[in-house]
Amino acid sequence: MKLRWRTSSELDEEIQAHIDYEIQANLDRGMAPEDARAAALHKFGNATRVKERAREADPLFWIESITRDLRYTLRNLSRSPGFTVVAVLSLALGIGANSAIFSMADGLLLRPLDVPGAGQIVGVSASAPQYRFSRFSYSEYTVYRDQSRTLAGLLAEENNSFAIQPEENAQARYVWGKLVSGNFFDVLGVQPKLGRSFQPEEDSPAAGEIAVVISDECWQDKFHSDPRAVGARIKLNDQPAVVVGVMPPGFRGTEGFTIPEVYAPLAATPHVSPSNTLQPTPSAAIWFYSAA
Amino acid sequence: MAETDRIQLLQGTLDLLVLQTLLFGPRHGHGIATAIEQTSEDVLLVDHGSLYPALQRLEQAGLIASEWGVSEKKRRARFYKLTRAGRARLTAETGKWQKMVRAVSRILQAKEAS
Repeated sequence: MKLRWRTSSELDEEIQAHIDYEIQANLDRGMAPEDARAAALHKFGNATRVKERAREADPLFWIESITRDLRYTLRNLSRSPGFTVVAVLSLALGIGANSAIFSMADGLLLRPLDVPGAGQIVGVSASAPQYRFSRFSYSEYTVYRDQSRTLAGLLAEENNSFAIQPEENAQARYVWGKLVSGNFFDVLGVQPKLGRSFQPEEDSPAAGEIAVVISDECWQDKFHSDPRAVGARIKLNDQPAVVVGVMPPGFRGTEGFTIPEVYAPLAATPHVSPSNTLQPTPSAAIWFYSAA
Repeated sequence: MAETDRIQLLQGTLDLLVLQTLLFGPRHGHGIATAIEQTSEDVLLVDHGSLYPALQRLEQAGLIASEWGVSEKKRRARFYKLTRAGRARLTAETGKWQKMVRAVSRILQAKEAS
């Protein structure tokens, strides 16, 4: 099949020629000029309708039609710039807000956690009359953790921002991170790619130096991918700490939206976040890991 | 011949007649219309306007091809000619048409079976 875009003006010319031939033929038959013309037009029928039908038979007709519509639209819009600006802005804001909310919902609700057995992980929140989604106190957490029989493990976490100094007197960098229970990585079933995760005594009030696990991003960005980062003495919110492990790339814990860069034990809360008292006020969000 | 004695073309026969007319060489649109009318001794009434959508359709189907040329009256005109595919289609359609004419005639002329 041959695709050829016959332009409207070509068709116009062709039809005009046709009518002229017919007029000439009528004149040759001895008709008066006005009659010859009227008869030719009558014989041809509705030329506008004919052109429409002929154009519709052209598979590329829509290109011409869309081009014309676009040009008409642009001309009208340029005539009222105020309206155009308002329309474009409202569209831009509407689309922007929509995609922002969708990417948030996608991260928080739709995408599964990037850990083994993600389908078996559940989030738990307390419910109080004033607060629909309240959190548990640390002591409540330890009770559930120690006495639950239906769950393989129960972790607790608290979002926290940190100032991290990769070396003693280095410039502090502000990062987003979490204070987590000592079993955090074991419950999620993900082990560090370098070093180790927390040991039980590191998440206890008796712990000495604060143990810290960092994300792969933090390792690349703040420690220049140095394998010796494990064991490095750093400062976390001005407190001496030591890096014990580096998580694999893409690990985001229970987060769908951001990637925490630093994980420190909940027991370090009084040191790194003195204003945050674990007891008796509710503070830690808890994630259950249910057994299959 | 009086206008009232002329017959409007049957639906779908215009394409066949256009192809047949082009069998004798390239013609422009007006030439095709007059050729059909004259060859039918003015019995068939061609609606000149409907010719152009038909020509467009036939060209898209690859049965005819067209190019601009100059007419016998020294005027620019688009000339249509039969393609190889058009020739084959004409043969096939002519066969079908004759079959149908014979069948319809037999029915119209049938006497009651005795």
